Amino acid sequence: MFNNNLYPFIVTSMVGGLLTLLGSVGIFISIIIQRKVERLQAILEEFIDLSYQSDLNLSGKMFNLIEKYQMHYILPDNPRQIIMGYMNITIGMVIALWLGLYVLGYQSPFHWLSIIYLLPLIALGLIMLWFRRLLQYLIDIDDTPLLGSIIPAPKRLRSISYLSSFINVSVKSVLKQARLSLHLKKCDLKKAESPWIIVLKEELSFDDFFYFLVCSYEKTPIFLSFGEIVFDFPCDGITGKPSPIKKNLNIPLGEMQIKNEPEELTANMLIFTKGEKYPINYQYILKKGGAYYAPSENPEVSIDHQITYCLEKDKITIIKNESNLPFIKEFSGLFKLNGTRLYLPKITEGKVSGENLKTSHESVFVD
Amino acid sequence: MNNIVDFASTIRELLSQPFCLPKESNYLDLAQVTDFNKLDLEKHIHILPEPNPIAEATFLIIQSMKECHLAQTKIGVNELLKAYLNIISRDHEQECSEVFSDYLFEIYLYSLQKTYPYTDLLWNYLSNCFHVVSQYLLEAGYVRGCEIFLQQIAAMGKTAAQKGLHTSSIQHFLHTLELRAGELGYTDLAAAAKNHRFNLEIF
Repeated sequence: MFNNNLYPFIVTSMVGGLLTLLGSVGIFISIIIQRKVERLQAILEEFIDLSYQSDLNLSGKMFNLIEKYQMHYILPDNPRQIIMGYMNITIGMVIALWLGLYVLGYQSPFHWLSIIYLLPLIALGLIMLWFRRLLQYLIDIDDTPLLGSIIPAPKRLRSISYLSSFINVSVKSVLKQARLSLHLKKCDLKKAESPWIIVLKEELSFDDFFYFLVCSYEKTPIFLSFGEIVFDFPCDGITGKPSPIKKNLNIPLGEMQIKNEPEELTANMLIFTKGEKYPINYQYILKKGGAYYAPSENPEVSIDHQITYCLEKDKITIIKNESNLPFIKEFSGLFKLNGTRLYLPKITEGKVSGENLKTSHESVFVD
Repeated sequence: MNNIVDFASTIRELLSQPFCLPKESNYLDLAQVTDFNKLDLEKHIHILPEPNPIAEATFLIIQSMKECHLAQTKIGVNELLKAYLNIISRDHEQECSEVFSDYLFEIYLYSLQKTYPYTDLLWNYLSNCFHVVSQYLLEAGYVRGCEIFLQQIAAMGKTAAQKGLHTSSIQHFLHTLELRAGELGYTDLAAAAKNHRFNLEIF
């Protein structure tokens, strides 16, 4: 048998050993995370620097940087589980050994006051769990509050609102790389009366903004659409890779009928983002070619100082409107940031009502 | 030769000369020999190469680029493309497209030089021309020619994107071309255009 006097000391030194190991795991993790954060911040900085060079074509570079960022961002799943398992076992062991020491040192009879002796154990147990949570936050970077503010999730980098409100980046130059363009296509080529589907194309999938679009023919509005554009790209079904950003994205905005199919249509699109107060105005001239309408040249992009807006509780409030774009006043009450896209398929004699609004349910696709 | 009209007329004169496809020539080109047994050196060694007006025209255009005469360069490229559309025929659609797009590529490569100040401007001009040329080829039914031409444009677009030049107009026209080709029933061409569009900025 062991010496009863010595045994508690053996257990105590075991606990000491376990805690030392746990501490060194903490240091090990923090070194890894520190290197990671440095890498990620360097990429982030490079990305932000890119946004200032609006006269160059940077969409390829931006895409590659976001992909690179994503690559450095996540820790592989397997080591993560090993570290968590190690921590669980160590903390469990330590608490069990402490309890054992209590048992060894216990002397009957039982007295209510002896519960006070248990309080340090409870406190230590809680602190150990806190420590575990802290390390878990460090390892599972995704969506944890600890590192989220220093290094944003990769999908944040495609969010125009994030870029414009947290980082002082020109929305216009970022959107220039997204190359927003409008296309109208006939749903069914064989039918003459087939409705036209209107698609917003993005070469680079920047999201998290509100749009307001009016299509007109010789200044008579024929189509209206507004809503918030937010993407949710799941991991690739085949390779399992996360995809923070995509190329050649198509967003169906709605359907409309075009009477007589004129050769030319015009379209105005306003883009509202969270960090700004003036919307960006895109002006397109859409030319007909076969069974489609496409912009004949690059759109005219400008910051529209005639409209001022602000954001209140996920709703866009128009403070000042001196522009001659129609229907902003009528529908501004419905400018909500809830991820839906609404459209008016028909505008008869310039009269509109909110009852005819339809929701575009078609999902975003790559083409 | 600083006068634009003189330049244009010289180029047009060159391009209006009969044009000989490399395959039809008797000149022995070692790079083109496929059957080693038929390599008859004694018989062919005295034959001179056929005149190549397109190469001469290309050289003139590159000369104008050396002098940084952008207006001349634009006119030269324009004449070259017009000659291409004029010469292309059903019999030698493929060869003709290959020859012309290769020379166009040479001009483009020269424009990427660091000493050339108008890279952006010339690239924009080229992109605008490509749109019309390929649309013309498509509408006239030169599907194979259009495919070759697109391939060369895509190669140019790819290098352009790497150099930071804007490729939005190329992207855009590849898309409209794809739609139009699909409408006309040329599914292969539409698929090729889509593929080029998707690969344009992958590097």
